[in-house]
Amino acid sequence: MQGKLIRKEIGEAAFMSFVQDPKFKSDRISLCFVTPLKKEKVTVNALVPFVLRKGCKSCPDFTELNKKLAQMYGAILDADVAKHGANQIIEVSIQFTDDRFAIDGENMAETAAKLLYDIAFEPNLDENGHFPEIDLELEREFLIDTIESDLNDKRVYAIGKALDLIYEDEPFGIKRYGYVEDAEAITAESLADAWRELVKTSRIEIMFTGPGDSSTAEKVFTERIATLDRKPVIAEKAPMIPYTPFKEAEESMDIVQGKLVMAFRMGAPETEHEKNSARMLSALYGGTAFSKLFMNVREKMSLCYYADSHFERGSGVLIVDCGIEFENREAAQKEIVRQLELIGEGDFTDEEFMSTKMAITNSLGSVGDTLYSVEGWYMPGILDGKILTPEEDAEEMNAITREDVIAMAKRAKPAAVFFLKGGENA
Amino acid sequence: MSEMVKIESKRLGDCYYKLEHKSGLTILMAPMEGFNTAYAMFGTAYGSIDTCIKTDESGDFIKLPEGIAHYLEHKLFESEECSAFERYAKTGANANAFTAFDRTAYLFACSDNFEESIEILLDFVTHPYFTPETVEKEQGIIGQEIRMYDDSADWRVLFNLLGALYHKNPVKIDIAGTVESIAQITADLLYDCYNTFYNLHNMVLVVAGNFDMEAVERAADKVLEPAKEFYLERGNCDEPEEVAEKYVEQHLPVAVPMFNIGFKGKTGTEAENFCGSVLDEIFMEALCDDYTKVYRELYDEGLINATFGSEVFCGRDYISMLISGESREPEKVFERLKKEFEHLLEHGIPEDIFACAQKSVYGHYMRSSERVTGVAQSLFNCHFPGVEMYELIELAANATPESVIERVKSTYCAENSALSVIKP
Repeated sequence: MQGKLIRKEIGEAAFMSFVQDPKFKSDRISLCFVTPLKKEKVTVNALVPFVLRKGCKSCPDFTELNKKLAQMYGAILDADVAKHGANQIIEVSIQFTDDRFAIDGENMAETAAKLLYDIAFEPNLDENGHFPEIDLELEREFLIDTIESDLNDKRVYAIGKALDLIYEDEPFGIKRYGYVEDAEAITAESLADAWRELVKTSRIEIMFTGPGDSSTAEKVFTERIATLDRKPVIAEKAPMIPYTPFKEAEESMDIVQGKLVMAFRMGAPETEHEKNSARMLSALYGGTAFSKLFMNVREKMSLCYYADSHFERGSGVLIVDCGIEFENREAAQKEIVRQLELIGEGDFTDEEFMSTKMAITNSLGSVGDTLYSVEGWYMPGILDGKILTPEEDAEEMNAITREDVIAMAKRAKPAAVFFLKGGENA
Repeated sequence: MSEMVKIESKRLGDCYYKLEHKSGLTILMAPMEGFNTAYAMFGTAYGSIDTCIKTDESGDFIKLPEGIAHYLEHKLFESEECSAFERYAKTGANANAFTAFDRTAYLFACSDNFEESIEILLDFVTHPYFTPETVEKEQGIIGQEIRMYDDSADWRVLFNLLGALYHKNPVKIDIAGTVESIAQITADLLYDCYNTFYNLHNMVLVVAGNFDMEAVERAADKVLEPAKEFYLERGNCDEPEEVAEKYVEQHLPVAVPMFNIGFKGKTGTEAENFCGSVLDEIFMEALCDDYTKVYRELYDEGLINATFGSEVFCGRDYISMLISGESREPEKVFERLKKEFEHLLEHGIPEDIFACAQKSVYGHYMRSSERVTGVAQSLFNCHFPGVEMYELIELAANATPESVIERVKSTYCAENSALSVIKP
């Protein structure tokens, strides 16, 4: 990859990372509040980015703010919330045209950095220190719709249900956007308090990616973050549970295709080597168009259009999902389990194994080619405290042996099955 | 001798090369410095809307089963020995394909072993192998793909809208067809379609990113045979200007009602649609993007949320402006947008709004030029209409409020519009 990651501490538990790369034409700055993921706070924190996106002291009007962004050649100001292990991440980001392509020679990076700072730290509060009532009402409604929108995509919905079955009280089971009842209870006061607490107690991670001069952005953030009253709280690592009792559930919905999701516990693959073995296993099993699930459940048995697996690095759970005819559930489920058992028996060729490695190396080779994927690559490593370049990760993946994969497959135990079937809505 | 032409954009500081290969294939190559990925697309001007054709062999127009272009795309991955996916497995490339309304493309992305992968791409697409057994096997797989889309609210709301906008245009037909229509597909019929449309004169190869141009030429020289002359007449659908229906709704399990609004345009030639779409994009931004008055009113009244967005939907024989989102009262959103549409056509676009819209659209084209996939897709999409890729950003940069209004007036009318709603 072209640009190397440079990290600087710019304040108390406040860091700025830089990946400079001249090949891009735009730059991206993201700012994350990283806070311990707690069920009682997840919902109100999830509302914070949506109200922050509505305006700030220097540009209080939503329409004027959007005009300003449009005039910056359609700069994209995003606000959203994510989860990573035991952390909740409240993110605001801005992507903008690099100075070289600005028609009037504007200093885009400085303007963007100032605006992003203002959005995150200088919101448009009223005399009581509250967010505007209309923003609270509209964005709370949108948050509730977003929580419920899992239902719109049946695949997402079914996977969510399977995860609900196994995670129970683990932090991994806490919903990304929180809970409807908690959203309804948010007040102007509780929302403003949540934002203040984030500013005070979060770890702050800022990332600048692109060809532009990041020095003005660094200056803006360093100077201003120094003025904040900070008392950071860092999340403890969420423990990985080796195995849980098997659970099964199904639900009916007015749909034409069944969605089958299976989750396997892997006996808590904690070390990097174990995690990488599980990643490799998942790729061999259902991560490519020549994987075991693709070649058998789809190509040989014609049961489905997709049958994928992926490994959840944080919780150590392997998830498989596919879309099938309702009456084919048993056949599909049997074959999914059988293919994993076969890998555990070593029933795969060296060629298949090498091809899987090549597919992984190949996709890691592309990480540096978009601003978004560069940021998406480094952020989890930053949060986990183990920062690798994609090349270093490829090296580690290439060190995984057949035996590692076989051993990992043997550790897999079904933990949950969820089936979304046809019929009247439950 | 094959001839190579260099095409440059001063504005972007980019260039690409056009090679007319002796086989009859046009090859477009955009080497991009500093990037690690190569992205290749090999495709044909044949998609789901090509349901009625006339060739030298067929004599008269013949009707094809709906979904056959997509079925063919699936089956082309197979050969007598093994699937193309198994061949790519040896190079590490990430391969895929898609069938759209008016084109089909086979593609791969790789950061290593480029020459081996491009040979596989050219080879499997030019060597069809269909038998009754392999065709039969795909019924179950594509059947599940169709069912997946039947349950997808995003997909249904769009196709219901297209069904409302269009009377006869085959763009209203689902790309994968139906379980019933694909049951009529045979190996012989796939060969007929293949031999008609997969003629190198009707195809293009696009490569962008990190690769050696000579390797592309070597692979083409090695794999491609000179193509026969190409003759094809596509059926004309005589689509009326008016919409078929103003409103259509369906019930599906969703959280909040979803809507698609379409303003149906008069189709020009493919190139006219394509170039016109840049001005249409500016118009749609000025109509309802997040810095407009109407957006703010709808947002503050709780009639739309952040899922609201717009795009121009255009190709060979069709062009429409589409607006999508979630709303508990989509009829109100539709009425308000129609009114604003008429207002803009009558009074013109305010200067500040025009500046926002133009800069946004310009930025959008600029940003797509910094992604390997963006450049490849743009070259691919521009080739069949015969539009030079860099022309699009120039059209955006040179647009005026007057040129946008004139274009929209000549192509659209607020009344030729429809609303599609998915209700819980």
